[in-house]
Amino acid sequence: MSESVDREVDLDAPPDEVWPAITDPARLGAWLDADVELDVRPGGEGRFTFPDGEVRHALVHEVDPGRELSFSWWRPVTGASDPSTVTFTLVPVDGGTVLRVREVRAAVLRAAA
Amino acid sequence: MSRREERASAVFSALADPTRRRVLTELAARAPATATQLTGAVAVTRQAVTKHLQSLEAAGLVAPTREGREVRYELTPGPLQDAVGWIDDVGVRWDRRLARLRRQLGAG
Repeated sequence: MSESVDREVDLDAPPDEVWPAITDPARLGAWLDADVELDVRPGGEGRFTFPDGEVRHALVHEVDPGRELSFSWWRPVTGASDPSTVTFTLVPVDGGTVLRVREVRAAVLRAAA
Repeated sequence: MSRREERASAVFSALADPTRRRVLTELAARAPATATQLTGAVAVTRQAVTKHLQSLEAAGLVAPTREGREVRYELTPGPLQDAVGWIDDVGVRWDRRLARLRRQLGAG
């Protein structure tokens, strides 16, 4: 019971080249445009700092190397904390990769409370 | 189902239908509006728009006000306006990020 945003992109690189772009914090930060600290293991913690100063804490859920990474992130501000879950899925296609991103927010449940 | 679950379920149903989301987006842009005005903006019949508005009202997401014979609808303040904006904002952010990823991988 939540809202979600889905996007996908075709990449010319195969999954084993795309995976480090998603899981190496420095490389992930380069395209997210954020300073990223992320311990990429189930239960690992992370921190994202965006150029406008917004900070999010993160918790890693699933790590399936070369295939899927999911984590939740939220702003650690009392009353404004709004967790959402991000899932990256890599699908090999013909020498390249389709990368799917889904971000799901659970605010609807809280809003209806 | 508890009361809280019923309310959450109603909101979820409201947001799950693309035409209802479109109605909400229209109301966010130019509330208040009558069912007739909304019918012009979303390509379904006035009868369908009225049903959608009733669902949205039952979910607490829009509120009617009667002006003479006309009923105008507007978004109820708070969480849902935030939700429609969230979907758009987050979508735009991912579009930008993925465009950067493509450029960065392409250059490798």
